[in-house]
Amino acid sequence: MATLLIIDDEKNICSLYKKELEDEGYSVFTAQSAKDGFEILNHNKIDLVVLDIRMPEMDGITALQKMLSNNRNLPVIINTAYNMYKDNFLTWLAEDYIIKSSDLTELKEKIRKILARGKA
Amino acid sequence: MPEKINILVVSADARTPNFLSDLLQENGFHLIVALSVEEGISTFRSRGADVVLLCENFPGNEPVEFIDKIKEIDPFQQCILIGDKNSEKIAYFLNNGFFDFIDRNLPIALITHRVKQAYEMKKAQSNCRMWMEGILDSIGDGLAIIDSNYKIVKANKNFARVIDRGDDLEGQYCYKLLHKFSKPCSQCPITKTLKTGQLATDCEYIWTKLGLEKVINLSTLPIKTDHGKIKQVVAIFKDASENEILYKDLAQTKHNLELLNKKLEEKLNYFSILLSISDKLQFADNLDGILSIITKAVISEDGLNLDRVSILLINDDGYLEKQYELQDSRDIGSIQVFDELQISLNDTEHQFMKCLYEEKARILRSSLCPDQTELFALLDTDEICVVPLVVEKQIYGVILADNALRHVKITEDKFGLLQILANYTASAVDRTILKHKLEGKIKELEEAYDSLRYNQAKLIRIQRLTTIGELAAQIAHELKNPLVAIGGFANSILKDIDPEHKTYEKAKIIAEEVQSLERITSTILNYSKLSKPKFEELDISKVISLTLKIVEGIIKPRNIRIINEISEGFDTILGDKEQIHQVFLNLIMNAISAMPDGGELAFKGFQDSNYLNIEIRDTGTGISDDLADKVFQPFFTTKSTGTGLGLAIVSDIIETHNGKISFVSNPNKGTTFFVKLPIKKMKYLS
Repeated sequence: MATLLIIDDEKNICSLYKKELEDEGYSVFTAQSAKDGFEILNHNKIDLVVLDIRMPEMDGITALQKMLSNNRNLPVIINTAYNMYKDNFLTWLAEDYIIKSSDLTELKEKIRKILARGKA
Repeated sequence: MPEKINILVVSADARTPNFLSDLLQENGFHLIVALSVEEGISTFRSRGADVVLLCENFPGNEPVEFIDKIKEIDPFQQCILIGDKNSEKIAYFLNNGFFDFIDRNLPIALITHRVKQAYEMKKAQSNCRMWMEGILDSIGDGLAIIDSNYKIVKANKNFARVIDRGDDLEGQYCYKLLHKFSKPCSQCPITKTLKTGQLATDCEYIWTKLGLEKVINLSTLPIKTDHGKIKQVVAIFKDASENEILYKDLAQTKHNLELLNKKLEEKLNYFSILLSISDKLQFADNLDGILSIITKAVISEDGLNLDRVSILLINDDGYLEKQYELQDSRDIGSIQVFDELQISLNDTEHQFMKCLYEEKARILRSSLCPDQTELFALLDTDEICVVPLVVEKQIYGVILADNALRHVKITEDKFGLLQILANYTASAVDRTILKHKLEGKIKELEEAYDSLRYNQAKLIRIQRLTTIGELAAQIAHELKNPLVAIGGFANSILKDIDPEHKTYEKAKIIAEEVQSLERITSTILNYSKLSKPKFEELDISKVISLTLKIVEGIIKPRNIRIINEISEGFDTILGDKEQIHQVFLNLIMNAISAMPDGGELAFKGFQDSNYLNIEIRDTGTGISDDLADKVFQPFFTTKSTGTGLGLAIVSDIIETHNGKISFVSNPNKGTTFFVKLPIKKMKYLS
């Protein structure tokens, strides 16, 4: 089963996503900062990252750049409350850009599709 | 050696002369003796004497008669009577002309002394007479002394000249000499003075040598004897023909004065014309009005009274173009020749242009301009005034005026007046053009001010939007994460529990409400930063029909009739497809909310040179006046579920597209929105 990493400074978001995605059958790591996220990435095999942008210390876009420079093939989904970061071409490096919603259907669908493509 | 004094002695007694002779000759006298009164007078007449001595007592001797006769010959002759000292008549004799009475018994020394006195007296009187005559001759008028018999006793030199006669007039009768009358005239001033002793004066017509009548002005004054008796008359003859010349001069002067007066009146008339024109010009505020006044002044009989006038102004193409004209009402048609004039500013050889460039008014005459026969033939005139319209080196055109109908020569006065009128015209034209320019500037300023005011309002709005937007985005973001967590867990609960569970409904409400909140925060976040438009060519009819398709499902159950009159074929606009779509979507959604009980939603479009205009009319509740100012403000809403951002977003998008949006609304009748979007123009693309 695939292993996901959720990076979001909101603790509740992290636990929501962990519960929902584990229900879907994924193995889920969560990190509340980019720094913690890198720690997990270094020690675990991660198949997909869900990344928030507005975070203290290191923002998501910087983190995305760093992540992809380490592993260009790592799929990352940007998940943020804003759509305005779409203007920043660096976000275009990510696999997808999903606006945060309490309805996780879209997110789950995107994860499933990306991971299915990877397998194929 | 002193000359001897001649003495005439008249005495019947031969002894007396002998006695006197002895005595007097020793003292340098020369004696002539007459032995009777008659002999004495004739001797005096023929030889004269310095002093006459008359012995008193001899037969036939009347001393007073004697002396009268002597004085008739020489009024200044001095006579001495010699007699007895006892004579009773001594005083009588002295009173009647005798210089002295000598007693024959006096010592001889005394006698010689008194004779010498008489001689001195005569000499003095003679000198005096010469002096007097000199004075009389120096008088410019003719002067004559005439006695009671109208005989001329004495005349000065000018008398002969004035009456046009030769010399030697003394002794002649004046009435014969002057009038060829046989007796004196009773009306003559001489007669009047002789009768009354008063001064008299009158005009006399006398005969000249050539037999012509001559006018003489005659004044007379009396000479009286010691007793007051009128003895003689002094007559002064003035040549009145000189007066006649003066009269003629005077008449000429009077005539000249009348001419001057007439000229002055003309000038005054011109002056009053100018005054009334300048008066009227003050109130004329447009060019046509001014030109009308000037041309009327040139043609009017009270004005310059010329036949026709035309004012040619320089047009934008650099040609003299007829601007205004007028002609005497007696003839119609000939003025149209001015329309045919085609004179370019570059045609510096043209007589009119020469006048204009040299800033000099001229009267052009066909006889003096042999090379201009065509021009004169075209204008059908012999002479024409060309007066330039110039103000401070700025040339505006010319005034042409002539007497082409009556062929009367144009006077210098009228020409001068025409130039003054031209000055008025030029300054009036100058003023009008300045006024026109000024009005243009004022309009530009007003527009600039309007634009400034509009931009200022826009700026204030944007500033407010930015502030509100940023704050809203901040809040929305902070809310978003907790909402996602709340909503997410609510959804999670719904998934975990049985729908029959008593908590299920509650969790469902939480999930729905959170979704609603999330929509609001999303809108706010989207509004706070409208993404930059991506411009492409859009066919507005397609955008609208697409939008209508999307809302079809919402409209159908609401009994709303759509009337779309926007057909294909309008010019394209440059716009962001998503944003323009958003504009119409928001407007349609607003209209739908305004018509809860159904109604009509109509779309109309038309195109002008720069804009595509779309009208969206609903028959809904309308917007009340007090809310009209606020509808485009963010967070303003009348809907319980609205974010209050719909029209604010619309307004922002339209502005980003350099368009305009406005609306009119009648409460309970409906609202019409007007959207203006600039048409894409080919030339701006390159």
